[in-house]
Amino acid sequence: MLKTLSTNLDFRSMNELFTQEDFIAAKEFARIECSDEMGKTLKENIEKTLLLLSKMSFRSGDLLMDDLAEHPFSIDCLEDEKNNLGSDKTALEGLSELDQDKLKINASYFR
Amino acid sequence: MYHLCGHQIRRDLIEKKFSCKDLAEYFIKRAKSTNKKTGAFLHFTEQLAINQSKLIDEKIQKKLPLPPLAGIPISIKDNICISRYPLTCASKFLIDHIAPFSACCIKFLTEAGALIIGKTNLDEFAMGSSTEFSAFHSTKNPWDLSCSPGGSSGGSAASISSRACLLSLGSDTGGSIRQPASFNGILGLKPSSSKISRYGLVALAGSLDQIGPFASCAEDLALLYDAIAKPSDKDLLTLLSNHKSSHPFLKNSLKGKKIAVPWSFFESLNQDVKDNFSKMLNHLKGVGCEIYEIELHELAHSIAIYNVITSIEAFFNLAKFNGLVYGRRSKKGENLDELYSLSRGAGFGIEVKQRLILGSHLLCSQKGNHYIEKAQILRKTLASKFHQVFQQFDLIATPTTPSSAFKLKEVSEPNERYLQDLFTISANLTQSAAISIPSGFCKKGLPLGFHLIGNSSSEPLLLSFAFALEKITNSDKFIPKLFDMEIYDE
Repeated sequence: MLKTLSTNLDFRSMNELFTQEDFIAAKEFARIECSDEMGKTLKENIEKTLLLLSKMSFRSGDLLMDDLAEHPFSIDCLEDEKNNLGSDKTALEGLSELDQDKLKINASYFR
Repeated sequence: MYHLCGHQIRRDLIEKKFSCKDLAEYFIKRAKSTNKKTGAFLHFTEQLAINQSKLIDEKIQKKLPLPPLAGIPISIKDNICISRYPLTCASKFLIDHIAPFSACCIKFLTEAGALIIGKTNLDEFAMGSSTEFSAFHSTKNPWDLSCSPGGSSGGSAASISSRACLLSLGSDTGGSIRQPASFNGILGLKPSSSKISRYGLVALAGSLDQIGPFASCAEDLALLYDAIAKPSDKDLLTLLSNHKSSHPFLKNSLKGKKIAVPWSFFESLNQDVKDNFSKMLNHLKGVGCEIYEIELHELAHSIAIYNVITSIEAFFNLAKFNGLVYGRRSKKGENLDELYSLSRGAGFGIEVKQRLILGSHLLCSQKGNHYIEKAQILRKTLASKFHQVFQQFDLIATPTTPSSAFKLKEVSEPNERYLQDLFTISANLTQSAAISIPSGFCKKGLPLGFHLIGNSSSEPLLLSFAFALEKITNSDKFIPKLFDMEIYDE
């Protein structure tokens, strides 16, 4: 987990952050057709947003590690939560097994 | 009649000062007239309001008890379904769409006797913070028609500040109720998750979206919240929640309540907003609250986390709008892929396209995947920090927005727009309850908001703060000059 977290994206230039190929692939996967002019604006805007993401937190590895040291997080926590959430018997009474499962899944997701 | 609060209207109905049908006709007429200036509404639901008013009048005639929102006119953001009425989400894609069913909250409102008078404008699919991204028209701020009313629930907020109606429902994914409430000098509540059923709300980002109420006074806000915050088998999450009525707690004493303020986060805030915020904290000290400074540097991550999470969740949620299942179908496509791309290309506006393409990039490229994992972990970190804070303090206070309402078309850079939600996003990311309370005006004469964030299920506490502050600021009397008069069609 810590190894994954310390892996920061290291883009040498703005062009590498979101290339024209990245834009075309993302646009096609999103099934969105647009004019060349709009495409240019969209690419520029998305580049700026990605730059914001990079600058604001995702490249500040040290800060991230400090945060986690202060507030430890692990996949185990999530599992514990998922198991505990179904323990409210009142909430589950009268629901079918399928609905109970849905409820547990939703609750852990929205927790 | 427009200067009355909702609970006063209900009282006057019981005293037979006017009939409910007269009331419905008055507010529909006023809404249509004010709408020419503000553009707050997309459609009117006249017949719905008139039919409801007749039922209320019958109850009055028969001396039957009136439901809690009897006769109070309300508007609904146009991403919430009302059976047999248009549901456009302010998108050309859904221009012809008629909702086949009603949202749970609409059912609860009807049972509570509210008069639904119309559907309000929003940024397309609730993506935006200015209501300029509506495919139909921009909404104007009633305090200054050259300014934005905020967004995405800008139409809802403007419908109340222009007194076209007295209550409204909006949705809040990152601040879409609280920011427009602040820009319009009214109250806006984002409930904690699982309090209000989202069945019938067109989803933007499922893990962040909430339906929430707007009102011009705290008592009305509490009545509306209590009417819709109910368990529903259509949204299983609401069955898990403890639904406590907030109205009985409105007048509770605030003495000894502990308020945490992350002062270091406000360093670059403009002085006008900072002064206004300090004034509100002094009001709270005056009613016995204790104010403490805390460090909350995790807030700096919130916009980045929000951008990643909303983009990827919107990507999935809007996949159904493909011209085949929902939405206007392109006639040009020669195969299924072309049909999807051309329909979505013609139907969606630029902000929606931008977020969907970003979501697609984050999900489908190796570069993008890095962001998702980190966003999820940072979100958990933020929630953990909030949990710690709420073990020591009752609420966190911030200004609602970094500035007062901006001019229409003034903020064109997407990143600048996202900064509007700097103080509000964290409540969505952490599933907390939060409220924007009118806090007076900036030097330009535009309203400002005071933002309080509370733990899950803290709605009664937040509403008691709104009530106490309203008694000091008289914010329930804030009405823009341009609309503080009887307005009729010219």
